[in-house]
Parts: sequence; structure tokens; C-alpha cells
Amino acid sequence: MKKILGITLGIMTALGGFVDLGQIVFTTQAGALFSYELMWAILLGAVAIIVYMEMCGRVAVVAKEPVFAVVRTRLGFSLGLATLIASNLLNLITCAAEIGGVAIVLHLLTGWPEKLVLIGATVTFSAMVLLFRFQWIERTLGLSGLMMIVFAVSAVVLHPDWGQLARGLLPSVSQPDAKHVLLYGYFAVGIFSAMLMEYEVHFYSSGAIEEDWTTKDLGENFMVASLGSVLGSLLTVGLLVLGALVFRPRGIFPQILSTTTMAGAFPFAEKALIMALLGTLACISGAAVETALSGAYNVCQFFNLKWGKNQPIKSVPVFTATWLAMFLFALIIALTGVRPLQLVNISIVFGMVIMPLTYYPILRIAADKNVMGNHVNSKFDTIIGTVFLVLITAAALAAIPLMIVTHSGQP
Amino acid sequence: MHKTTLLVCLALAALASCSHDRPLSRDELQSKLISAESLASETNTFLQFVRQGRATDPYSNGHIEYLSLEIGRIAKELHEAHPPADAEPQYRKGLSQVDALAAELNQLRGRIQRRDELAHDQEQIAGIRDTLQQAVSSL
Repeated sequence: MKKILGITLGIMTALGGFVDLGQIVFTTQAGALFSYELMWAILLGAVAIIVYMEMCGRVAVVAKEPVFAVVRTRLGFSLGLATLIASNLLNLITCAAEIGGVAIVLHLLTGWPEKLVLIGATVTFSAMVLLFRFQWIERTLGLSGLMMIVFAVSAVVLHPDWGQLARGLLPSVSQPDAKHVLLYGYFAVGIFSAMLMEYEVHFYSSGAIEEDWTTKDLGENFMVASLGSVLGSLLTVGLLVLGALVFRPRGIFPQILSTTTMAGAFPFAEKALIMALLGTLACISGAAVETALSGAYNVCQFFNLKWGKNQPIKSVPVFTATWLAMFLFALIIALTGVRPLQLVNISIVFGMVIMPLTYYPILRIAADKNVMGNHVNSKFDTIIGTVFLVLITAAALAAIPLMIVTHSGQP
Repeated sequence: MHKTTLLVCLALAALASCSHDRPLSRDELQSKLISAESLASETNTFLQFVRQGRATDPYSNGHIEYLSLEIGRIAKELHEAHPPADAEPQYRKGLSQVDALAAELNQLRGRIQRRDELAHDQEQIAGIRDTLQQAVSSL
């Protein structure tokens, strides 16, 4: 019974922590522009994240190697270091975007000055990471994120055309002109990237080690990775539906976060609006904390330094200093007044570009019988992992050209 | 030395490409006017939401502020750019509507809570949106 409760809690936490600012923005914009035509990108992203999240968790448990230790051993020091620098720059930009988003939502909830809540939120996150154990941070933010379900409920209440939604699972372009096709490609890559953001697997695999998972927990690893991601993807589908039903008929291309949150409460009244804001706040707060911690995990794992949120602060000085620095620099970036959605665009596109460098070493080690023993990838795992790696690489090659020709997805 | 010179040249070229003196292309103008049209529609949808009493006060104040900042940003970019040589009338027409929308949103920031007066604003903004739509279609 205790085990089932633990798994349920893990799944709920994964669901609540699945959505971040990038997903909220890209998916609603995609719905507003292409209705349900990009459903297939969500499906593809969901299967890919399940495959790789499970693999990362398994490698962490069996080989006791988190993602960046694997990156160093499999890519070599130079390429590994370049990946580390790129990943942490990306974590920093994403963290700044999420903190900026948190300030916007807090401003909308309370009316307090945005700069003040920006500083207050960053201090609160730092205190939270400093004082709480890993499990408490993960569960508090993950479970609060469940309030995002109001977006899915709104989507269902607005009566989507289920047949059309199902047809979106097959790629198709309604208008054959070049501009439309390029925008379609940009948003397909954006959705795929947002669902596979690297920090999610860095955080997940480090979490497996933080929580002392053993091979007995591999079943839980599979359940959490698959069911949490499936349910989180359904939430993402809700965002796409809202974009298609609320924004598209009105000719709206949502460019500010406050417009997107309104969609979550569109068929309802004040209380739903507050719930949509609180759900968004929890999700992007979770992402802010995950990216900051991810930065610290990456550095320590790469240089083989002692790390761990549950370790006494004095015994992990580099780890503590790194996540604190991540918050500090993210705050400085956010205080410059750069718009969070602009940062999200950058983080999603550049995240896609460096993604193969993270996922390739994971696939290699998970398929290595010498390291993984009985828990090595099955043939099916390796084939599907390779197929997704090819897709990830293709999307990585297309990301920057698509960003340039579409002016970052401007219709 | 060569590498440094090359890097400086590249940086200058990048800066030059971001310069405000660069003429706007027809596509860029269309994209900015579509954004403005979308913001007009967002504002009208939001005003309806407020009139129905479904938004909280901090949300109403905050959202109108963000809408106003966003249209202000588009207006600034359009003012600072050179109009496209082959679409100057559309540029002028679009810019006047963007300015009108920015002024309307700026006014609304102070009186978003006066729900009874918002119907008139909705009409005004719908008119601006229609004109923007015409400008976009003519590009």
C-alpha cells in the first residue's frame, strides 16, 4: 500500500512538474496558429521523453552515474566541457525566463510591483532550496502544479472537435505556402524541444540518486516516467486546444503570459482565473528551481565533486555556490527588463541545438551491457532510442535556420 | 591579429544589421501589423472578460499594463524604422492605428475598473482592429 502511494505521489509530482513556461507559450501559440495540426509533435515529444527519462533513471540507479558524469565519460573531456558550458548557459537563460514569468504571475495575483516580487521570489526560492530536503521541494512544487488541471478542464468544457484532434496526430499542413510551412516547422521543433528540455532529465536522474533509488525501484522509475509524462502531455494537449478554441477564432497570437493564463479560465469566473494563475505560478516556480539545481548538479557531476541537496551545505560547497550563483545571475538577467518570452524562445531553440550531446551519451551507456548488466536496454529500447536520437538531431539542425527565417516564429 | 579584426568586423556587421536606420521589409511590416492586430483582439476579448466580472482587480490592472507595454514596444519599433519603399502608404496607415491603439490602452490603464464604460472602448478598439486588418491585407 505504501509503495502504491509512493508511486502515485511520484506520478502526480511528475505531472505537476511537467509543464513549464516554454511549453505554456509554444503550445498555446501553436494552437492559435495551426489549430490541432501539431498534435503529432506533442505525441512524438511525449514518447521521446518517456523513453529517455526512463533510460536516465535506470542508468542513474544501476550505474550510479547521473547524466553529466555519463557525458564526461562518453564524450571525452573537451566535448563534454563544451556541452557543460552550453547546458549551463541554457539553464541560466531558462531560469531567468522562469523567474521573470514568476514575477509576472505574482504581479497579476497581488498587484505588487513586478521588480519587487522578482527579487522576493528569487530570495524565497533560494531559502527554499537551502532549508528544505529534496523530496519536499520536488513534491511541494510538483503537487501545487496540479492546479494547472484547470487548463485541461477548460479545454474539455469548450467542446473541442475530437475527430479533428485525432486527425492532428498525423502531420499535415493546411496551407502549402512557404511562410506557413516554415512557421509550422518552427513550432513543431519548438513543441518537441519544450517537451524534451534537458534540465528535466538532468534533474530526474540526479533526483533518483538523491532519493537513493535501488534496482528494486526500477518499476517505480518506469511508472513515474511513463504515466507522469503521459498525464503531463494531456495537459499540454489542453493548452493546444485552448489556443485553437480561444485564440484562433479571434485572430489572437498570444504574445504575453497574462493572455495565456486567461485562456485557462476562459469558460469560468474569478476563482478559475486565480487557480490558473496559481497553477502557472507553481509550474514555472518548479522549473526555476529545477534549472538552478540542474546547473549545480551538472558542474559537480562533470568535475566529480561531491553534490547533493540532502547533504550538509558545508560538505558540498561548490554545489551550493553554483545553484546560488544560478539564481543570482538569473535574477540579474531578469532585472534588466528582457522579456521572459523572448528568453524562452532563445532557450527552446538553443536547447534543441545541444540536445543530441546530452541524449547520445545516455543512449550509449544504457545500451552498454558491461555497465548496465541485466538492466541493459532491450533491442526495442535501443532501436526506439536511436530513432528518437535521429529525430532530435534533425530537429537540432533545423532549429536555428527556422528561427532566423521565421523571425522567432512571428506570424 | 587577423582573427581579432575579423571578430570586430563581424560584431560591427551584427550591430549594423540591428541598427534602427535599416528599412523595414514588407514582410517585417506585415508581421508587426499582425502582432498589433492580435493585441487589439486580445484587448477586446479581455475587456469582455472584465465586463462580465470574471477578472480579479490585480489581474485586470496587470494585464492591461502588459498589453499597453507590448503595443508601446511595437509602436516604438515602427517609429524607429524606415518605411518599406514599396509599402509606404500601408506603413503610415498601420502606424497611425498602432499609435491609436497605444493611446487607447494607455487611457484604459487608469480606468479598467469602470466596467460600464468599457463597451465604448471595445467599439473603438474593434474599429482600430478592422483598419489594421485592411492594412495587413493590402500588403
